[in-house]
Amino acid sequence: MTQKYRAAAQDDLIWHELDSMTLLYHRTSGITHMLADPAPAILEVMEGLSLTAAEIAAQLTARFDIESDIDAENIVIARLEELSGLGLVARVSG
Amino acid sequence: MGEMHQILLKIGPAAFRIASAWRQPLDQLVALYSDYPLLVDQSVDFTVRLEPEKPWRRLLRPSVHIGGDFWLPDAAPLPLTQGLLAAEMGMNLQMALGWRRHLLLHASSVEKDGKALIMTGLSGSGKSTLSAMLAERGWRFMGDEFALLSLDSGQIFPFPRLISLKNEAIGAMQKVVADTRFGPEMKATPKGDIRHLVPPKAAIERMDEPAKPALLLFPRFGHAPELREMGKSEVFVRLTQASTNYVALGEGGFNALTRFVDQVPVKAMDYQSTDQAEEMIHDLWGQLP
Amino acid sequence: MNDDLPSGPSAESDLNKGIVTRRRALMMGAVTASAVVSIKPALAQTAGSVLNCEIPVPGNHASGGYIAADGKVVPSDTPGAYPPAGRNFTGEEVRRAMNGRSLPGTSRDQSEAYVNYIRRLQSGQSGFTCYASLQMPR
Repeated sequence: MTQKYRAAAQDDLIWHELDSMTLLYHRTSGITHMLADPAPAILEVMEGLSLTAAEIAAQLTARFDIESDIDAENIVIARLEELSGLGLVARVSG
Repeated sequence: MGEMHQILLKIGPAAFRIASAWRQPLDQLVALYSDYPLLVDQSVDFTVRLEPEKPWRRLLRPSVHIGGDFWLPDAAPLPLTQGLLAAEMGMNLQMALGWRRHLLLHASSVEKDGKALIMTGLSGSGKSTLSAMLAERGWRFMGDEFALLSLDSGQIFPFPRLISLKNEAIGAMQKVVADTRFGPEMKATPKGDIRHLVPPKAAIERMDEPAKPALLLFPRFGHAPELREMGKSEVFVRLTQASTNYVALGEGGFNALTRFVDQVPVKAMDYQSTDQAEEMIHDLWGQLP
Repeated sequence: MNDDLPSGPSAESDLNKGIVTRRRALMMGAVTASAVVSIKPALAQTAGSVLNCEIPVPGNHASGGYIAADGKVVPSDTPGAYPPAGRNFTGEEVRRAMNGRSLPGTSRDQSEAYVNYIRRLQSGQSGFTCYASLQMPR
């Protein structure tokens, strides 16, 4: 898959950590989201960049301690679809 | 539509015009709100309108439709004998749908030493009755329906309307409060038997004084007494459900509510009597920094 | 799912985000496990606890129509269809009916037909806001 994705601009997002979840206020939509792992980490590694799911998975593996026997890329794709449905991530054309 | 009568009321930071096709509910309001400040000018935040459900229901089996600046479709009309309840519900509806100057939480609140105790929960949790009882036991009553959270300062502001007592709570409060402070008995309303209680004079005189939120409780009546911790994520979600204007306030609401959840200690409190609740509250209050 | 807070010189924290970038354990979850919940309390839900509402069966948009077992509004001569309810039902009564009890003054089957009608209500139809306010905990 060479589809690239881009996260919403940092200026559009307000983050707030609670105990088990991360709150995210999206200024453009006015909606508050509650994120569980791995969603915050995915948005974090994407900051300011256009990346493919494989590149995101590689970044996560490098920066975090991830279970070794899982299909990280497919999980990332699923979460990206979820996040793009909410307007937090956009597909980049071309 | 015929002649409309009207009165003006100030409750906390909000000013209301209550317009009614019938004098009776307004006369009842004037009597119960007699200690409240007079509005010096005519500028109000909201108008509540009590009108006949249909034009011929003005006189024949009079039926009150609750309307105003803000309204909801499908509102159930009330008989004129419950016109006072209709007026109170009308004011609550204006606040719930239209107030933007604070974050609204469905909660009762009382104050002691400049600090506010906030109690939130579903209908029947007992938050209203607890606030009425604590108001007779050394606390200042701030409100039984809405707690107003300031977006700037994070303080809680009072909205001390008439306290709405239901069913068993009526008898319980009649044992400790003079009869002159009660409104008319209204039996078999959609919410059960109801009687309104005028808040203590001190609560009315100090209706513009905020307090710093110091303890948030989720009370649950009818269970063996117990205190439980609650995770902040759960508290945050429950408070968004308990707020009528969280979404409308956007970023200001997000910042105010996250700050509130970060800073205010929380407990779930199960209890079987107000005495038990008061004891648990007293202990928790004493442990606050 | 607690994050281990870092200590040590290699920890970086972006204070604007409140997220700590560090080699902490990250639970990836499953492909099918949603990781986002959006806060969207409905208008009707929050204001519903302030006001009592009622639902006419059928509403004004279908005045005089009969109610079939599946809740659709049908002509009055349709076999097996129930006549319009003689009264509006309150939100409370409908909530109880959705939890197993019958609507007041109706047989089991009639109540079920009426409840099916209510479940089919669309935005803009009488009773929709009331029905919507029943969906979420108050």
